[in-house]
Amino acid sequence: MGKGIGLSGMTWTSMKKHTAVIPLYALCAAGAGLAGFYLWRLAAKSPEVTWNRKTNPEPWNAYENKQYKFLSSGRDYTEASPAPKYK
Amino acid sequence: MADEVKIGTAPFDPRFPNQNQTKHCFTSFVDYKRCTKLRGEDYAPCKYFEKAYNSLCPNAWVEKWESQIEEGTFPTKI
Repeated sequence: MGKGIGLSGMTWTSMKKHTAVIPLYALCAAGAGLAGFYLWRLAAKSPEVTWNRKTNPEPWNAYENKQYKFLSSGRDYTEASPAPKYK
Repeated sequence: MADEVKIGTAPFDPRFPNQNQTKHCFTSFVDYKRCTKLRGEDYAPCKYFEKAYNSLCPNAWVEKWESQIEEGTFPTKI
């Protein structure tokens, strides 16, 4: 078994020797965080995703008067959906 | 000209805000079928769904679904 590189890059003390790598790590973590957040948002909040078809058969109904898009210029979503209720 | 015919399409529905209106079409069709089943063919609010799915859905889909309903193979509970 060779010596290997040990914990280089995984402990704070080893990072001090290569300080230029720290912003790289930070930005990578931020990017992964943003990506993970977006995936969670899609899974939990998307109007087309349901995790239980018995209790939530029509997930889009949750968005009758709210906005899912991040950016939707000029449109007022607080007016209720025009579809009449008949049930 | 005689009385101006009001031409229109299905209005904006916040539940389906994107360019792909497939769900809007299918939901309007299913809602129409459920509405007429529950309230009868002459219930006025059902006409909203009829107008919506006629505007949004390709005719071939509507014909296919109608024949599926007749055969009992329509995928959603009405």
